[in-house]
Amino acid sequence: MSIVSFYDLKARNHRAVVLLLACLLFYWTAALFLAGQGIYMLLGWLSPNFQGGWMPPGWVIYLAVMALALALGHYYLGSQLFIKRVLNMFHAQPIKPEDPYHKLFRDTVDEIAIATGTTSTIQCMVIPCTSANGFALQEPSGKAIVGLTEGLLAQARRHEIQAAVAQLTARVLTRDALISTVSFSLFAGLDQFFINLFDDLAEHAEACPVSSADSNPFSFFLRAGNVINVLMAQKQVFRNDALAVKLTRDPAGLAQVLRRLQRSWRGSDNFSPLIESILFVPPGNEESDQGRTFMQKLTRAQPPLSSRLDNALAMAGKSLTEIDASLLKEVAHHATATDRSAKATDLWKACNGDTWEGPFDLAVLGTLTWLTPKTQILRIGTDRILPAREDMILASMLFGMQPSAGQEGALCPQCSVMPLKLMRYEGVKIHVCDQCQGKMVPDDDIQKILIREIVSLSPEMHLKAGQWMAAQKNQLARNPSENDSSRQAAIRKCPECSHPMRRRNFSVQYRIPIRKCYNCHVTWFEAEQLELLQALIEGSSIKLGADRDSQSDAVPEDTGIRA
Amino acid sequence: MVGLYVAAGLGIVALGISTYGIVLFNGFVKSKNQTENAWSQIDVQLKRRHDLIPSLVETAKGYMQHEKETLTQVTEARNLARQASSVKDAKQAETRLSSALGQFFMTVENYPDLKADQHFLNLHEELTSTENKITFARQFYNDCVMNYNNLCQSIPNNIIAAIGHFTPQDFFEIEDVTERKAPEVSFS
Repeated sequence: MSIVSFYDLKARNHRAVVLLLACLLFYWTAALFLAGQGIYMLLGWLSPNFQGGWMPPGWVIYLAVMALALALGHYYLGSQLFIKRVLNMFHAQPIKPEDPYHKLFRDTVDEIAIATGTTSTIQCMVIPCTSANGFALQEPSGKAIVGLTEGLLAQARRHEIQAAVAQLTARVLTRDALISTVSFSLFAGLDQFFINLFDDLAEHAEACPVSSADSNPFSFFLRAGNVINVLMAQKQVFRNDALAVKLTRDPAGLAQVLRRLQRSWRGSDNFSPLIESILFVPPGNEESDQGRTFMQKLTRAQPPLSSRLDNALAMAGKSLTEIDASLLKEVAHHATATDRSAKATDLWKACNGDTWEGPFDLAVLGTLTWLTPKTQILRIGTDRILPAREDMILASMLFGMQPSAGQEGALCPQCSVMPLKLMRYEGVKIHVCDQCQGKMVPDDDIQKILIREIVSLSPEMHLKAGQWMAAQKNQLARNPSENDSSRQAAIRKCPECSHPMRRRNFSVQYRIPIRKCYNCHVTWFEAEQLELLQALIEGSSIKLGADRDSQSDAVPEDTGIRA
Repeated sequence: MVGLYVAAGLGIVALGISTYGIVLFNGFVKSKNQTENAWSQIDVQLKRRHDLIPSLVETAKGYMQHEKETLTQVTEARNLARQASSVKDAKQAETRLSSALGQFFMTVENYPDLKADQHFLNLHEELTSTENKITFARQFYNDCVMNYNNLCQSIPNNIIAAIGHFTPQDFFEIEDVTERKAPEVSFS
């Protein structure tokens, strides 16, 4: 009698892998036989000397052997090529250990790996976009990749990330990730072939190489790939959710992360719904989840998110109201943290050597090069002299933007006077000018800064964001056609490569003028522009959640942020 | 002739039973080794925690000058855990250390400047991750022990267990019932 335990599931799932190989064999046999028969008949039609008709037994045996070789080759090689293609499409990058969010991700994967008792290493990748989602890929050799978006890492709490990682790891453990990877490699290559063949489909290839749902007629092949997934185990997602709960022993964490994702943007523009079987949650919104036609139900590899959430709630023994209350508590806690930020009237005096200078407000204090955590300060209105590090607001400023000592770079492109200083902001290294407070940010890191909330923005900044949005709407109402008066603005040269930086609006939705160097892939933000963007996006994220809660029929607001 | 058939039949039956016994025995060995490996994984994480604590205490000393008692408790609990020789002693010592660390982090809430110290934040993250790894390692160990105990105690496996001297193992449980009670933390 064999004892089957949770940790022997991968052995059981070898049967699913054999079934997958059988499907591959059937696919290649059918494809080659059809092609072979077609060629044989064509030859018979073109050449009078050629017999034509049905293929001879020799051809049949030859094609059968070739089909077997192709099936095995596809199983082992196809997934590798598909994985590379998917990672390129997602712009997935390896984690950076010095980034606190990436480190948390890596630690969580290691923790879950200990819970599974697995000895194989799971590679972590991060997708630099603000949507909240994840993916799992696997090769026949056992090598697995688990990825999360920057948006999910920034929004979710530790136990929620643990639940997401556990679910993705469960897919790896049960080989469901392998089945999804191989079955998609079956048809994704064909899809790309036809996209490249026809010129009018080249635009779709650039926008989404694995084509979007309805615009590409050859998405039939991708849907066929989905049918294999569906036939294999349509309920594999529920099973993996249950395994994730068994790993973490925390069904409430899973319920919470699913509820959070239900209210977030899951990347409908970044990820095609046709590859959703490798994703943590379907990328579409709740409306597309619910209103499914029969064919959609047949070919969608994931059940609606609401079904998974109901399952998780049942496992946790909690109601949706309780989960929402937990999420609201976190939002309230963050709002309270924001309220502790500097008010407009907060002023300080600071001791520079033997001389007391000031009073200064927070913005000016941030520009003082001689201000250190040990500098003695006195907040106006109090009679207590403290080191700057003991003042909560200054500590947040000092440690939220930590200078890396002794690293001075090129001159500021704005004021051309001060050298740029390397600093850490929202866990990311950026260059800042102490004089004009301009910031130079690598393009790859902009998404992280905008979605993260390590640094609390002041109420004044949120007010400015509201005023900016109102002014923007008025301007568009008066003059719908975009009038980019910034074309007359002075030319700024990139401090790294001296190429002229191109002035443009940050996005269609947030028309904040910025400057980009397309040579170095950096973006220059003038004073407060970056903070303004953060406040705008923070406001739109809360609004998105509120809209989803009220089950509005309005289309979810797109943040307009693109990698 | 009949005797030959009977002998052949008995031989086949004996071969089948012995093969079954060998398979079961190998299953016991595999399960026991898995359990011992799981325990060693707990040990690795516990040692990691022991190594992190001195740096944590040193960083906190500069800020928490009036909390010497709390810091001392953590250091003493850590030293006791390192010196534990038996499994039972190790379990008790680690439980006490977890309690001391819990008390320490509750006290840290009163020191915002310490919470803002980057070095402390890094150590806190390392320690939190290590605590989680210990939890998951214990979880995996208990699951392995459960599988192993099921093997030892179910029929007819218990016959092989008796022959091979395979005895049920203890779970990694919390020693002190009062420790199971989560501390109430108020953020008002």
